[in-house]
Amino acid sequence: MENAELRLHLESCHGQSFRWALHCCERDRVEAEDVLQTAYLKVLDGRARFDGRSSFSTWLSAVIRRTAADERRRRILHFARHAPLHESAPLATERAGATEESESTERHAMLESALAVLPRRQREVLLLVFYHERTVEEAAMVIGIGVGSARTHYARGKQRLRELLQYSEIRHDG
Amino acid sequence: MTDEWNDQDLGKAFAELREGDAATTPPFGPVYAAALAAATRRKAIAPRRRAVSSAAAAAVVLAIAGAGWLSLHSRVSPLSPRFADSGAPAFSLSTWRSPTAFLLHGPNDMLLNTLPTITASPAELNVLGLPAGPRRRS
Repeated sequence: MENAELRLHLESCHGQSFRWALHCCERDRVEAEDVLQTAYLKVLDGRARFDGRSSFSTWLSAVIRRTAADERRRRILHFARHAPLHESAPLATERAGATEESESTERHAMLESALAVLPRRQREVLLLVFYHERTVEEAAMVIGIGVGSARTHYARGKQRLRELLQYSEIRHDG
Repeated sequence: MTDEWNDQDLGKAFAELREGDAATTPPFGPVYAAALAAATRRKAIAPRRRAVSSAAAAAVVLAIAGAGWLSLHSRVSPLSPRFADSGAPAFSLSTWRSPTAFLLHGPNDMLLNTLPTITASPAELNVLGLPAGPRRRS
């Protein structure tokens, strides 16, 4: 694929790619931007090649996910070697999109809190299906698991998410 | 939201979250430009890296081959035609003696290598009932 064509594809998926990178980086915006730029670099220098087995955006989401995982491992190794034991920093250094208290913000916070409790695979499948509006099969390709496993994660994750949201609502109303 | 949080409710909640995040997406241009610049730099240094890697691999292969050749040809076999040219003493199979042959000799070598003889006279042998000599056929 030529650079001009690659640019067009990358630009068309940019918003969705950044939001997916944000979820892969636990909503750390700075890290998400770095991961997204590294993913674009891999695409441009040929380390990641689109083979046409899925849609371009599905393939790019898989590249972003792997890049975020590599960055996470690199950071863990770096801290294990160099950083002394100290109190851990807050998880979300800059929460994207929340600027004022509102009912919508509270629902967002409730949803994000519930998602954070889920196991990683369940969270990823639900985000890909509900947030990024992909099919379960596409979600399976992004994560690199079988379709059957993805369906299981989807069903269990959805059930668990419902329970968590209902519990959060009860706590909020109570 | 309903009490049961059906798929429609979940979809609506996620859609609201998506709309909130859309406003914070960084522009495409700068991110792409930074990635393209980094890719260009990587491509510029890639040929030098390949040349260095190839040279290192060739050096390793040559070193291993040289060590193997030296090991093979450092000792010349006595059976080799080149042995005589190497200045070592000539080898003859008929005159060769094992350096550990002395271990096979012992104090009883004479007993093993000679036949015992009886020194008694024929008269004495006759008394003993032993034949004095080889029997003559009549």
